[in-house]
Amino acid sequence: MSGEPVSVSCGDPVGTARARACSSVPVDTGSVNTLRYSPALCVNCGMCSIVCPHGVFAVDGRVARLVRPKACMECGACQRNCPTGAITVDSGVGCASAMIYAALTGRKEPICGPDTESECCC
Amino acid sequence: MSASTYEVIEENACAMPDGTSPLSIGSAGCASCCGTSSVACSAEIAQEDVAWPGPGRPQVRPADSIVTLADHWDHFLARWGVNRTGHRVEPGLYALGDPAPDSPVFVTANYTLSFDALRSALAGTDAYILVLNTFGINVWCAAGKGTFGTDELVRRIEATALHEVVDHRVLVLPQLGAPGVVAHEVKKRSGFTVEYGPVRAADLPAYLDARQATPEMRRVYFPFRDRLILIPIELVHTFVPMVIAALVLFLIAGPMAAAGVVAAVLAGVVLFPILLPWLPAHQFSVKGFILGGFVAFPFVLATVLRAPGAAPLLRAGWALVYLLGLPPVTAYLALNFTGATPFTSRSGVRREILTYVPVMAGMFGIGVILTVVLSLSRLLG
Repeated sequence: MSGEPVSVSCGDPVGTARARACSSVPVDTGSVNTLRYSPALCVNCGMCSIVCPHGVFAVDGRVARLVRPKACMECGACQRNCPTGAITVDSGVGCASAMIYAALTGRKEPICGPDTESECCC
Repeated sequence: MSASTYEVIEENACAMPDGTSPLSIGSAGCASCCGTSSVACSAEIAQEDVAWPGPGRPQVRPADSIVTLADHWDHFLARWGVNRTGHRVEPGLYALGDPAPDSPVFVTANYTLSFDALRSALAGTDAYILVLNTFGINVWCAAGKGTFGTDELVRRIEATALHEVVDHRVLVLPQLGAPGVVAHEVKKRSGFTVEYGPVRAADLPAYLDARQATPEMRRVYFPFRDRLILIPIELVHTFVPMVIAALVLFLIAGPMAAAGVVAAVLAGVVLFPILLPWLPAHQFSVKGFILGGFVAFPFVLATVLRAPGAAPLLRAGWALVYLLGLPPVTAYLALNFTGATPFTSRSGVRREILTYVPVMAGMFGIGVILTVVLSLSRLLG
């Protein structure tokens, strides 16, 4: 989970080390964030590169590539719009004061939204 | 038409002050983003969700592209956090210009800044605007919370009988709605294809020409103006605590201590957003400590260079008060700014909290204790 994240493309020439590395093992971004991408599940629809606000994915091969994994802000747009579930990321409420409050009071981290009981993020 | 002709609803819910600037949801959360209670929320949805009963179609409201002085005033108030609940338009379908059944349909949130940004960007275009009920919260924040989401979109399509209004099946959504919308599910449930347009409404005319977004249109940046525009609301939130702290310090420790806390807060709230890209270090807490150090320095210097009559131990004590007490204030405010920043991640913020909040608390705590001790010793002679 340390070191530079590897951007593996399943479109690399067959027989190369990088193509062999393309498997069902998800590519992750190291310990930088919780973004995890499984190239084996990618169907090259391109949605991840459309919805990402920071250009984390590029779709210029047979499958999508993680080109700027550290730029991921964990908004969850890619996970939401990937039709095959090839991308996962932990995209909850991340506002510092909410997380600090949760840590101090020992509560589970708050989530806000119409489906939850919490009124506020904090 | 002014904002008031769009039947601004006043509800008792918090609203994000910023409608057009990209705001973080990954570090998520809009620093001052709150939602209505689930009870109020479901009641509202139930109220509006009643399918129109009778013949004919539900009302399509007219819209134009003119942003009036009243609208600008409304935006100004929103940015200052005034009447945070009141910056909404009625959800539903709007006709911009003179749309026909083949005119495009754009989707937005019912926050005035979002709605006004969209309709003004579409000047000269005949189009439909579908406004979702996000309780007066901007697109990106609402998407993160799920209110600008698949369910609300499908619900609003049905409630407005959109299938009968347009003969095509395409919706243009703002890209920043994506965290809340599952495009393939919208298609399955409503038949409408979701097309994600550019991040910024201002790019819509260029986008519509080619019906394609450039990579630049799909990227969120955090330029100076976008940072600047977040300062008023942060100032409003910290103003009262700052004044109280300054008053207390003035009474027990003197004017310089009061000035110190004001300086530390203003540095964190005003200077930090401005200087953000130029402050060294990657983590906001560290940037904040550095900025806070610069702010504390003149106070430390003033204390050290004080008239030689004052006891050196006392002077050292006060210097330590400024050195230990001011930077954590700025650093804490800087850490909280991650919630309004569109590139910080939740994981990163969590790591920062675990690493630096204890340091901030420790330094600040010692500073407070020292302040009390030194002030008491001065008062008691």
